[in-house]
Parts: sequence; structure tokens; C-alpha cells
Amino acid sequence: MGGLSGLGAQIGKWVVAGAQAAADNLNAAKSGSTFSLIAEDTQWAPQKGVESFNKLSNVDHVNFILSGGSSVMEATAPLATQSKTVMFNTGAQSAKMAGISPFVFSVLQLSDFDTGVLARYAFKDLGYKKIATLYVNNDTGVPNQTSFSKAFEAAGGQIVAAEAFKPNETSYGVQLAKIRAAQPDAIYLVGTPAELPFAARQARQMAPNLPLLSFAGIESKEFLDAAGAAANGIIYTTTAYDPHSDAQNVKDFVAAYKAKNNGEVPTSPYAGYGYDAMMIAAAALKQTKKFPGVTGDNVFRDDGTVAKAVAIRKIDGDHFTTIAVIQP
Amino acid sequence: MLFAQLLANGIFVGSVYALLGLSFATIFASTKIWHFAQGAVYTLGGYALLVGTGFLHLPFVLSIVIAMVVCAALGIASMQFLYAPLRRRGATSLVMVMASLGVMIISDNLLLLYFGPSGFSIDVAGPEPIIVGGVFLTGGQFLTPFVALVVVAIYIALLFKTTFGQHLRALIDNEELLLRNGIDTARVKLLAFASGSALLPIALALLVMSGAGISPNVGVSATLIGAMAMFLGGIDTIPGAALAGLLLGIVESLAAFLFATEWQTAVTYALALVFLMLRPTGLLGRSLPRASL
Repeated sequence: MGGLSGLGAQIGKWVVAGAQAAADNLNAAKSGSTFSLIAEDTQWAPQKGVESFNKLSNVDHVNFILSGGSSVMEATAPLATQSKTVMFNTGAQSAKMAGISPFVFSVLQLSDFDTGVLARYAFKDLGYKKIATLYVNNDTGVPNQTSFSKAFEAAGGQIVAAEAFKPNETSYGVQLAKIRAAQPDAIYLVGTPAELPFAARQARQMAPNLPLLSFAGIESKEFLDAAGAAANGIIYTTTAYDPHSDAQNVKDFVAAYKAKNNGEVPTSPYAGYGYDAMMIAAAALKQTKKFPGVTGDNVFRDDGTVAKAVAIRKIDGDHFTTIAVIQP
Repeated sequence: MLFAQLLANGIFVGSVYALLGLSFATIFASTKIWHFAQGAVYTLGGYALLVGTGFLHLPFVLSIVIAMVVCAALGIASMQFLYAPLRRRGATSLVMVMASLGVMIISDNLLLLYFGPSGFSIDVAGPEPIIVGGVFLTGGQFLTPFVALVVVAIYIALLFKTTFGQHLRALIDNEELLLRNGIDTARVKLLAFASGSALLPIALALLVMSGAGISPNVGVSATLIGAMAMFLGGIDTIPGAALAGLLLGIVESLAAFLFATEWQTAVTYALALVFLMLRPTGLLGRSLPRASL
């Protein structure tokens, strides 16, 4: 279950498409179990999430649930505990996901680790001493902004402006005016696919000399298409997932994904999280403890979180170039 | 310096809000219909602009004109195929509101299905950024107030100098009087829908010039802003909505001078609420609002 309509629908659709690719591969392998998906639209809203959870758990009697969105996860985790339903977190990066329920397993790095990697890289390697943050005031923006700011200040840097914008905002002039006035060395930008490209475009217009840093949600063809030249040079961190990898499991994933999505390459790691969650569930049926995934090896800690390598990347034209891979 | 920069930004967004206010007020003041589907018309106008510029590679200005024609046609269609049949069947104003909201939701979801949730951008070759007295303005931000001023001036001149404008203003005051004088008020209302809707792509195009995107959800906030500008301006005066839109943009932008940006909307609408409590007729309103849900 995930946001499949309205704001942020793109992320939900990536996860569902990735999970579908996994189901297709598992069914083709004829491992003994048949996997099928039921997709419920939460619109990333807690109430909708609870309704979706209850339907999937009580009416459809599913074996496990893939979910995301920090507020949806917080609302549904107690239900997972009560009903003993295994739930995979494929989209919520809030640090609150650690230990949220013994039945919840995060297949993506929480924001505190990869934003920490970026914050230290920005301070030590790029030499930025003052950074301004520009973030969407929701489940995506606030946790990333908070953890990045903490890590950057812990590294010795200073956050000189923290400017929020509403979900689906179209004009960022006020925020960028305040950021310009604060004279930072760079801007850390977090948003959903509905805002990110346009925030980046306007940042390039209003602060043409300021470098942009961002987060995993930026890595998609959709972002490159909508942001155009404004995307060039943005540095960000993401799970060390590469859809062009030669690893066999990645090749299998990309092939299955392309088959169902008009030949489109799954550039977003969220598709990989959906795929990995399904594969982990299938492997768990065989009592395995280490789950090699397309987004890295999954070894779960006691609090349900996972440690994965983080890649620092830069957008060069229409390519995502890896600068460094940081192991957990 | 920050104050001046925020004021400049306020004038930029306020100029766009002025057009939205003018559009909303033209339709509501003359027809007393809560045309929330205007958000859908705004969004569809944006996609018409996108198809013209991005897919057909037409010049930006020509695409705006085409989008204006599309929006005018959609405005007329809203009246002809939605509100007029509902009114003939004796639908209450509340039913019309619900129908209007329904059209907006359906339209947004169809756009979502066809174009996907990610937004689109349009590259527009505009003037280079300029710095005036330390205030940085992008080409789009610099140009927008002038374009909006010209559009508002022409629009208000048409309202006061043409027969249609006179009929429209008379319709705001007393429809019965017009009918007794043999004026076809249904036709005047259609023209109100057409002219009000045609303003929308200009507002969106000015935002697009400054880096804003086109996505299925852009119409929701535009409708709220248009409605708020209309109330603040006074619901029986169309030019008042343009003035209120400009002020709304300036207040919204300057609110960020004193408060953190996440408080911007709350502060702006709280101030608007206080203003309406003190002056329910709005800035230029002449009488107490007669319309009701």
C-alpha cells in the first residue's frame, strides 16, 4: 500500500512496479509458492493507511504488506503488532522507523545514515561551511532536513537558513529570497517529485551560483526530464543501487521491470525497494537470514532496520555518476 | 535588503494572484455560481500550454493564446453543460458546488492517469536576471508585474467601456432589471465564464516563466487564491479582486520577513480572516454579500 494518486503518487507507483517485477520473477521461477499483489492507495495519509491495512489484513488476508510514508507507518505499525502481520517499510525514512514494531522491517536506509554521509561529505570534502535547507513540510522533507542539519552541525558546519514550502508548491521565491540573504555556500533541497524539479529550477534562477545537494528521491528520469538543465551538478546520496549493474539479480529485476513498464529502466531506488521487499518475503519463507537484494545486502538489526551501503552521486547531464560508496 | 527582496517577490506573486482574483470574481460576481471547477480549467489550460509549447513546439505566446481559447471554451462548456442543466432541474447552490468540486476532482484524476503524477516544465527564453538596488529579480519576476498590469488595465477598460462590460457590471447588481430591459443575461453569463476563464493561462504562463511546473494539482491552490482575492476585494466588485490579489501576494511574501516560512500561509490567511471580520464587504465592496451557499 502506498500513495498511488495525488501528491507523491510517483513513489508509490515505483514501489508497486518493483514489487510486481519481483512477483513475476518469483512466479516464473516456479519455487512452489505463487505470488500476487493487491495494491491499495493510501494517498500517504494515515487514515487511508489504516483503512488500507485493515482491508488487506482482514478482508484480503494477505501474507505480508509493503508500505511507506512515515505518518502511515506510524499509524499502521501498532496494527501490524496486534495482528502479527509482517510489514515491509519501502518508503519511510524517518528515524522513528527504528524499533517501531517487531513486525516491521525497513528495506531502505533511514534518513539519519545517508544524510549523515552527505553532510560529512559536504563539510569535509566539498568544503561547505554554511548550508541553507529548502524542504517540503511533510513526511519526506522534515525527517531528511532534520537529520541532515544535525549531522552537518555535528561535523562543524552551520545551517544558516531552514526554509520550508507546502506540498505541491509552485513558487519558491520567498524561501529562496531568505536563502540568498543568509549567504550559504550551498542549498540542501528535499521534496517530492511534485516539487523537486521546480524548486531546483527556481533555485538555479534565483541563486545561480549556489551548488545544490539533495537526497535519494531525486534520482529518476522523471526528475531529469522536468528539471532540465537545472539538474546538472546536483550532488546527493542514495542507496548504492545501480540499475545498470552486471549483478545477476539486478539484471533479472531490470528485465522483469522493463517487460511490464514499456521498456522503462527502473532508475528510482524505490522500485528496487519494492522488488527487494518481495524477494525478502519469499526468501523468509525458506528461513534465510541474509537477503541479497538489488539495493544491497539486507541483514536486519533487532529494531527492524537494515544497514546498506550509501552512494554519493552527482548528476552529470542525463547521467547519475557515483562519486563514492560509503559502507555502513 | 531582505525586506526589499521579499517585497519584490510579493509584487511578482501578487501580480499573478491579481489575475486569478479577477478571473474568479468575474464569474462569481456575475453568475453567483461557486465555480470550483475553475481549478480544473486552470490545470487544463496549463496542459494546453504544455501541448502547444512542449509537444507541438509552437511559440510560447501563441501557445498562451491557444490555451486562452481552450479555457474560454471550457468555461462556456461548464455553464452550458453543467450549471445550466442543474439550474433547470432546480438544483440548489450547494448541489452546484458539489458538482463543481466533482468536475475538478475527476479532471485532476484523469490528467493524473494520462500524464502521470510528475510535473512538466516549459523552457521559456525570458530576459536575463537583473539586480535593482541590491534586489535580485529573475527575468520572469521582472516581467510579470508589467504584463499583469497591462492585462488588468485592458480587462478593466473592457468592463467599463464596452456594452458587454456594462451588462456584466449591471448583472452583478440586478439581473431582473437587465431581463426587464430585454438583455439576454444567459448570454452575458456565458461571456463572463469565457472571459474569466481566458485569464487563467496568462496567470499560469507567468508562473511557468519563473520556473513553476505544470502538474495535475496546480488548480487547487489557484482556486483558493482566486476565491480569497475575490472575498478580500469585495464580491460585488471585479477590480477589487485584482487589487486584493496583489495585496494578498505582498502580505504572503512579507509574512516570511517576521515568521519562518512554514508559518507563511497560516499568518496570511489569519490576517485575511481578521480583515474580513473587520470589513466583511472587502476592500472595494459596496454592500453586504448577498450570495449564499
